[in-house]
Amino acid sequence: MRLLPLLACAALLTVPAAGLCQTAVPDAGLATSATSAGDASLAVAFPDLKSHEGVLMVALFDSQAAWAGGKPVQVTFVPATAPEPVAKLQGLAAGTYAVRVFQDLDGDQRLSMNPFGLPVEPFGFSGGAKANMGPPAFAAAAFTVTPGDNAQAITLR
Amino acid sequence: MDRRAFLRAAGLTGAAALLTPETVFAAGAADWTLGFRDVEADIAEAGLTRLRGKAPADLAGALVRNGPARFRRPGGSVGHWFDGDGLVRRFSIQDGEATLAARFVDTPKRRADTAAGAVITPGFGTAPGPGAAVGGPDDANAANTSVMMAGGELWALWEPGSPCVLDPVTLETKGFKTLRPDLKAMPFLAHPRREPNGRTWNLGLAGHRAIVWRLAADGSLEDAQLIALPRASYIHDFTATERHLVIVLQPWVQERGGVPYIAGMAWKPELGTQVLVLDKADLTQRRVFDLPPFFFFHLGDAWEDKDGTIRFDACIDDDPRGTAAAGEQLLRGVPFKGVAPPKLGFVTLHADGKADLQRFETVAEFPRSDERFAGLGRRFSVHAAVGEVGKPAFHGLAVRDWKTGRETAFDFGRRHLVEEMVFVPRPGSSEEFDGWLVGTSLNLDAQATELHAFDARRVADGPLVTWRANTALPLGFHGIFTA
Repeated sequence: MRLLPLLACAALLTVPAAGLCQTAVPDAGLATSATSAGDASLAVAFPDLKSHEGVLMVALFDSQAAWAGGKPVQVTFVPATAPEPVAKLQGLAAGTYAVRVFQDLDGDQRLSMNPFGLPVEPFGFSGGAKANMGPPAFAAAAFTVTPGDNAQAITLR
Repeated sequence: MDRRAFLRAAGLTGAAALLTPETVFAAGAADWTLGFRDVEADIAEAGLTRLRGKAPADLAGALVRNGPARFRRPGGSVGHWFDGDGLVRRFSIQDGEATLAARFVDTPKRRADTAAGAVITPGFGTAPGPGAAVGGPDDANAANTSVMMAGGELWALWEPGSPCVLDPVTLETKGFKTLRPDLKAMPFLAHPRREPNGRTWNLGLAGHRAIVWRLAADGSLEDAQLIALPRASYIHDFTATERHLVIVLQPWVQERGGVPYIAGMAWKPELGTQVLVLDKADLTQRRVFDLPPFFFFHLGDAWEDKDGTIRFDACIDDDPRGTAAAGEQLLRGVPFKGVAPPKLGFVTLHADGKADLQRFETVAEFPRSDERFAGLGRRFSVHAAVGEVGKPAFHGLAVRDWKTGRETAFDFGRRHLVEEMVFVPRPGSSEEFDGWLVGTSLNLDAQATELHAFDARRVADGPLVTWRANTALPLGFHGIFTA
């Protein structure tokens, strides 16, 4: 039997804990300013949104340590009301990154949870990475940013 | 013994094509293996053949049942009977004729397992396979345990996830039900308790915590409250009186999370069994009763005497060694070793805080009663009956009169596996158990599922009418009769 490290999304298994959800929340207090010098940019699109309500909250990470509970390199947000919303991050150094996003439907700037600790708002990860009893590893969501313009698409679920 | 003789001896002639070679040749594959076969695809509506008797003129409607029906895939199979994909079966009865249609619930689990060509989704007794992606309980929702009507919607129910909405006519899957946005993906047991006025109570469990759901007769959410439980018991079913919720906390407790679910469970008979009684009008008003240890899946509708005494029947085992813990071996046709079938019990919770459990020798599972009396004083229960040690199936049904202690039974014999029987009131009647019992059995000789209707008050006379389908459905769990 394979025991999974993070059991966050396990109401199935009746052990909701933190995990997926807290770590998926960008620090709402962070400004959307570049903290890393560089001239690369990243445009994140959100195909197949189920609803065009609320705001897409985007957090960009550059390491497993940051991904697992540290600070994002940048956060930004974009209204989900546009037909094809795109979040833009600029001033990035070339390198390896991963993105988490959630759709803030109730305007509290947090990924809302049900009483047993499971997300009730849509969320997603770059690289097509999927939650599995907790968030995916940084490596599963990682992609490379090269100098100039870069693009990623994230499907929320 | 040659192959044909072996198959004949194992009762599998003709069914061999339906079963994997591993199953057929499993050492000592039992004759009830047909009850755990795979169904490959949805079943278009087709007429049933009337074998004997005549349908009562005013018996009309549909028996809608749910149960797992796909267990095995080329790259890997489920680790427990409870983890098969839900197949909703509708037996329609009209003008003396009957038809059968069945459709799999189109869940993310079924899609993921189909795409992988293997059962990768974890569950009650199934470990996750490569590529599993469970972002929440409904990604593992098998939607395979029961059904209920909620307004105009048919809901396929599971235990640890959301109801799944189906079209009641086409059985087409519409998606998971969110009763309130902030309660998305909260669990909803497969055993809601419906009051005679239509108001429905249910629980959802997470270890020591539970959500208490209250739905209006039209299926809309009236209230949802969180409660704490004294222990993290396995709770498949609870019961209720007109005024109280009755939650039986057996000593099969969750010691750790993770998958499969049963790997984190421990049997601790030294804890005994507790019964938590909550006031429906104020869930903070609670009493706890103590009973000896026992294991159970199902309880009968409870009622309350004038002095506050609460009474209900239960189908109980000594411990969880049977279907609960060893549901995987059923799929291989391996009998349980030394495990007796569940038997009838009767619990009394006295007003003075004492409680007692009577145990009877009658084999009993899938208890049902006249739902017009749910939570009220009542006399009768019906349950699947007649079983043998080591066997996960029943051969008959029995009606118990709790006033006289008399039981009337009908035994189909060892070649029928009898499923849950549902009481259907006779139109215009108001007296308890004035109506029919409608249910199914799997005929091992005919290799076919049969539909029966009994006079609820004359069960020993045998079915008033029996129809036969042209297919053998694997054994299911629970159903409803709907207009």
